[in-house]
Amino acid sequence: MRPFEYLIPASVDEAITMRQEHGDCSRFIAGGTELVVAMKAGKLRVDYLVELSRLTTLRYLKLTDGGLTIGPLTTHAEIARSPLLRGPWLALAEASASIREPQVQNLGTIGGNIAFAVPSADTAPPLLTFDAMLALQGPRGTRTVPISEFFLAPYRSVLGPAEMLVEIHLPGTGSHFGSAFCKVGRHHGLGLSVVSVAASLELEAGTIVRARVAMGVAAPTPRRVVEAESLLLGEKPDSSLFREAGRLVSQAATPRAGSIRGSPEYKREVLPVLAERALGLAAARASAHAERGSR
Amino acid sequence: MKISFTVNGRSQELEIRPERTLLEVLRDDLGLTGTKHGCDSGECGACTVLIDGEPANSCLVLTPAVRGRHVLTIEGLAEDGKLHPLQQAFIDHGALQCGFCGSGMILSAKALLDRNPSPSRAEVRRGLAGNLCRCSGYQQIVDAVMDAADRLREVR
Repeated sequence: MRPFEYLIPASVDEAITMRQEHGDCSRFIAGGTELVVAMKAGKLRVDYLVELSRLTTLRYLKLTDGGLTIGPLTTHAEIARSPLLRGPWLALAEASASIREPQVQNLGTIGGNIAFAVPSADTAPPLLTFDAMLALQGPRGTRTVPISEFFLAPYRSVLGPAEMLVEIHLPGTGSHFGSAFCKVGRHHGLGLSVVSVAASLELEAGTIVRARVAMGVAAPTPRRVVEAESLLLGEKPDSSLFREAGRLVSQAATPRAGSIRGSPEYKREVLPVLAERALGLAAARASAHAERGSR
Repeated sequence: MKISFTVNGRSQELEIRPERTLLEVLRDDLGLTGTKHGCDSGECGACTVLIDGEPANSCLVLTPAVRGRHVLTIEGLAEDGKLHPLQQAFIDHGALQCGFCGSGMILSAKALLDRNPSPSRAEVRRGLAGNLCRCSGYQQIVDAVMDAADRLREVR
């Protein structure tokens, strides 16, 4: 690996100041599971690494006003195991659990997964279906951005120079809310996602009152499929409805040709199946939560 | 830069360049070559060590990141010259062919059994999902871990 300086900040403010001082040749490092590989391959030139992994104030999961806030340094293993993610936000735990092998889940963080803006970021589709808000702190203060506006292109986001993702907030949900994450990978424990779908549904008296569907590795960035969401709204959960929604998801996909992981043709064939499955699970979970709530 | 951490219960203080990975330092500076250098990109699991009890690919970890932490490698598993039950079970079941994946397999299995002393075969497979065996001796490996789990429960 090319030599670099390793900087250890004592606080978030200091970390941001370090990035400001060193500009383009500096990067934040959390788990390092993406960055170290890119640096070894010579794909990334870094003169200064600013370590985030010991900023323990950014490592937490906590319920707040019915919603959930997640510190960006929380690892995939912690998210996959958290009891706070057994209910409405289960899709996020499923996504974290699906990320490669235990060795990587123990190192990799949700903040790194989002901030690195890799097209295959598995935590992005569930966060998109939860309307997650991202707090970004920079030299001039903190701003909040909906995750749907965060990704610009592969490996590019709205994060400015020296700006850091400091919190992920999931708004509260109704009691009849369920979610699911489904993906196709090569096999568990090796390689990245080929394509994925997350869905979340809220029901009221058996009718869908809120629907979100998002896909991963099916477009230059993870994104929602509003056409499918509009179709679902106001309808009763039903397999033919979900099949039609899956068709819209596939139609909205713009997968990159020449990807080593799966051809566009393959992804368009698989997407409706994944979407139908995710919606079915989300609906079943929403009803199950509703029953539990009414007892 | 100066880095202090613990390896197999012994404290180490090393002067190293930050771009050196934990894998390189374990093998080249500390002579702990039981940790294997496989794919060098976090795919194969041959370089698995336990950091504060949790499995990690040491090829992905920059050495400064382990300062103050406890690293366990395969060399630290036997106690007073007596093999750990997992090591003994791997021998008894012929769970090693070429042996290259063995250190990582055994350490991943240790972390799994520490968390879950009575895993199902499916749970063992999931726990070892990040460790590839190219000789393809997975059946014997799972047999060995199941057997070691029994032996460890008896000890407790």
